[in-house]
Amino acid sequence: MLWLRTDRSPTVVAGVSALHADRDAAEDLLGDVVAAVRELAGDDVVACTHLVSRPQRHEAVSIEVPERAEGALRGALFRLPRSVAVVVVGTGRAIAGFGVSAQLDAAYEAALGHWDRRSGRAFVFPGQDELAQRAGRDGVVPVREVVASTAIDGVDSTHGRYDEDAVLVTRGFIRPVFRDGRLLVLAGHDDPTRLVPWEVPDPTSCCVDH
Amino acid sequence: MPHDTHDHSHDHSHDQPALPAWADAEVPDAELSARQLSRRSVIRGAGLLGAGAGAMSVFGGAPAFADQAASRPDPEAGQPLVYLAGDHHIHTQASSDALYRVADQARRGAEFGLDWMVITDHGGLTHSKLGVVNVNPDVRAARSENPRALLFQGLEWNIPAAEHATVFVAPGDNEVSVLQQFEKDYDGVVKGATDGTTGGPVTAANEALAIAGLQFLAAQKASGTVADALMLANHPARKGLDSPHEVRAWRDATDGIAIGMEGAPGHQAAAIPGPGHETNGRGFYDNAPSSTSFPAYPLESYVTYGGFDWMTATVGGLWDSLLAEGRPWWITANSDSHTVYNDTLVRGAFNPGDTFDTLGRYPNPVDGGVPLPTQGDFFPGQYSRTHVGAGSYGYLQVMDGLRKGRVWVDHGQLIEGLSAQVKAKNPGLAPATLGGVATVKRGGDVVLTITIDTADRPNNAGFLPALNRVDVIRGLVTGAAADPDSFGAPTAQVVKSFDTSGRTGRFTLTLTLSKVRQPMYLRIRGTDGNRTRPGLLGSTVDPFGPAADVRGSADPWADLWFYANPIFVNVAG
Repeated sequence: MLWLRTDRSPTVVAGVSALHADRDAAEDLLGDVVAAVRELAGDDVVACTHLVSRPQRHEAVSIEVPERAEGALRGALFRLPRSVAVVVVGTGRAIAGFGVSAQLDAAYEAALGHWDRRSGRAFVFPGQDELAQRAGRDGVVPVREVVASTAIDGVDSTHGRYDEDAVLVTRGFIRPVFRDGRLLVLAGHDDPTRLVPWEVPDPTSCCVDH
Repeated sequence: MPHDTHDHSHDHSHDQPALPAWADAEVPDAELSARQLSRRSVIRGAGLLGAGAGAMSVFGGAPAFADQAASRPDPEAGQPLVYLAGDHHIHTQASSDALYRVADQARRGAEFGLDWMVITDHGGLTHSKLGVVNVNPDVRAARSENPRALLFQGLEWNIPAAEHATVFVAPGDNEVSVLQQFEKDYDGVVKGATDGTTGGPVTAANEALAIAGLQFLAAQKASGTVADALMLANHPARKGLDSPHEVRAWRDATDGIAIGMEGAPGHQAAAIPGPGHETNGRGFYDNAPSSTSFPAYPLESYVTYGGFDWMTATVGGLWDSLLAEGRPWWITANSDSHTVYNDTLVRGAFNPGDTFDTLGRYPNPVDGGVPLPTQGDFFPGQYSRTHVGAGSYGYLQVMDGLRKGRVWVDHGQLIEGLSAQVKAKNPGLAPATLGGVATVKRGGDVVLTITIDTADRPNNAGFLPALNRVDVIRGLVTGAAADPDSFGAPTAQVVKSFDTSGRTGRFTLTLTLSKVRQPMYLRIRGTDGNRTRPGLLGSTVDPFGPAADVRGSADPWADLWFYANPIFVNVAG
């Protein structure tokens, strides 16, 4: 997975918008695409959600694969429902888009945000499965191991500096985000040896359906 | 920690909560502070604290609202204000995510020293048909059982296109019909109008429905159908749904129906370390930006700071941006009590064929015999209090005090009493207290006087809170913001910090502001000093602000704050 973090060997990023209000549904849209590229891309897949603003605020998605999996990616993208817009960007090639014209801006925003490592919340990233295995039942992994074994570049605590031997309380659910060129886990801490991620798998959704 | 030793017995008949000193008949008048004595006097004056009174069981008599119109001294005319403690956000078995009876909540609130409470079950289809009606006899019965505590009926409104809000009316013949009509016509869930997606196709219509709802309430008040009605936005920053332009529009829609927001949300026990709380935010603030959140709100807005909502806790943030416009927008602190931390009551079983939707409520709770530490709330008054300045005791007086912003709030019974006044040094110009406007001649000096009574009894976690510091925050009033979605106030900052460590009893702090040439406001905040950190806008703005609460690791008793609403200063001549 070194290609992802250092030399940026040639990759292709596709942004997709289906105007999803719901983030889980947006992630599901890419389920078949991720499956289709796995054989050629292996673990070198990054898939993200993006909150985009046009034509209305919604969750767009993006996926990045090495060039070797580009054919599988394009094939899977063409099999998406007709209600989406897709924009593909890649090393040394023209930006291409197709689909619902009103959603092209959103697909473009997702693709470029991912390509530039400016935006995107990764729900698939290299090292994800290994991280889950390392975390074991208690869900705790040293930050050092997180960075060494995954595409994650670091852990940023909104509570400031933390111990270099700190652990990340993953609970089997980590969703790093692109910020300023890096893939970071955003966390907070009270105890500088235990970092707690901002995003939790089951945020309290009090009373929404009543 | 204190909460570990705090056993909340479920057995009401043998419960021995610590009554506030003024309500405790065991404490003679001579042992009360001046403020406690005045509070006892106003309750006694309303005929609600007879000789020997003090335990709930001995109270009797007619509901207090019957004579609410009787003598109403004007507090501005020099009559001393009494601060009445309350909670405007309380759920019962008529909420599908709660369980207690009205009587349970009213009694607990009264036992924990509250003077007023609002029952606010969730708006929705079932509630609009059944709950809003069925809860009323319980509310009326509780008024009779606990005449010392004023009990309002309200509901928790699903604001179209936004978050939740407390809506409540003054008691009277039409309290149910007005609430029910309001809910049927303007509740976001009932009307399928919750979507407030920025740029979405239905957002403008849904936001307009919210405004129409507030105007409906104003019309009910104007026609005398109800004597008064109020709206306060609940947990405003929790999910980023309440955009700044919506908050401004609610306030501006009517003359004083929408008057404020929860400065601190309820659910303050949600992140006490322990099983089931691992990923909880304090206040259940553990969400993240979504497609329906206001895009410009930062990630930091989704958690609490010392238990307070980001809009209020950020010096120079959204609340200050409203105050900088001279907008009367006030803060409160409430329990949002649904299911209480370590309580043992559980929902009773339905009879065959019954459901929440057929009954409009759960069966009465039963004792499960096991404390439930996974729950995240406190009972009304157990942790959060909203203190409202009233000239006398009554429903309309509480609503009037809320509307005027004569309000301060505290957590964990941090202090016993607070009063504040701003007065120009040159005589003849009107002074003002919390929520008011003092006037000073251009270039003159003003004096802020803060009088504090420190806690004099162990709090509801069994320890005596200590006030470590009091901060004064000043912001200039610069007029309407060019952008209704702005949430910054660049002139707001902490201008004075008083070290109050070790001080007990009643003491006074004063701050003189010289040569005042621009309209401004002053607001006050205090803390136990246990957990502070530079504010989100930097240490020059707020050097010792509240720290962000950490998921699953926020002991609310170890991080106590009070906040007061602002006093405005106008400049004349």
